[in-house]
Amino acid sequence: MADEATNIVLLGNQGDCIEVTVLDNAAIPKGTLMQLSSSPQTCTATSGAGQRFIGIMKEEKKADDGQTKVAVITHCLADMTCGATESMVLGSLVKTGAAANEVKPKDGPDVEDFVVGIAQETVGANGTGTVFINVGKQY
Amino acid sequence: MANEAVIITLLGNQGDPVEYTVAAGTAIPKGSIMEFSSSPQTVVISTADGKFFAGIAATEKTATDGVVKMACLTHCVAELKYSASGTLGQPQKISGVNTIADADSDTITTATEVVGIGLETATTGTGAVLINR
Repeated sequence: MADEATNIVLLGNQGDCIEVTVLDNAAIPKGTLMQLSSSPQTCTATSGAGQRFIGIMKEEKKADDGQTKVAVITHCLADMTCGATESMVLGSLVKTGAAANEVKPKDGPDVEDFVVGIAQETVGANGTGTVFINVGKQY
Repeated sequence: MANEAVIITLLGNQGDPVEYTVAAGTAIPKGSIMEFSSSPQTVVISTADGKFFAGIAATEKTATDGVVKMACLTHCVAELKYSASGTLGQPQKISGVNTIADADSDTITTATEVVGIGLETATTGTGAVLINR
């Protein structure tokens, strides 16, 4: 994978981690942006725009390590990467981008346009900028 | 009452409880979904769609205890009762007494109606919801 979130500053109570279910055979690096993929509370790495972001992998998970529960961080500051044709603007909302771990501007009030967080700086295509994350908060 | 929330995980600082005013003569079970009823900071048990969500009653209140202040949890994962379909990952709103349902775009625009994000798909059963007021 690439473009995992870095420089994570935990907020709330140690990042307000919640436990989610993942596939045992999945390898998931630390800092991966995770999305709700199926019910109940099952997650995979993000892979497309506007997915149901739920948090950031707190620790690395190796494939076939027997682990099916992982902690994801829901409250933090983290450096995230914009897509090749995307940018983020200071103070604006971002959602998941077209490729894994990327983010792009949230462009509408639709329910199916899930927020990752609030951009803390303005960066251009392929740039990396800090995002404030507080999953579940309604902006 | 029935269908009160069951708290699974407290997030933030012990669930980030906020103190609200309640009517002295009312009984409020622990886990009730609370909505704003009047100014200032006064809450009642949820009643219907379109109401503003305040939090989850952190403790029980009896009708005769004279208490007029109550802590409501604003940051947690809880098992809540659905009155209609609930969709994985979608914001949820109050739909009735201690019940929720999928929010719509109008609700999202009026963001204070949102109770939390559904962590599982549900029909009329219960499902985990990430609450972050």
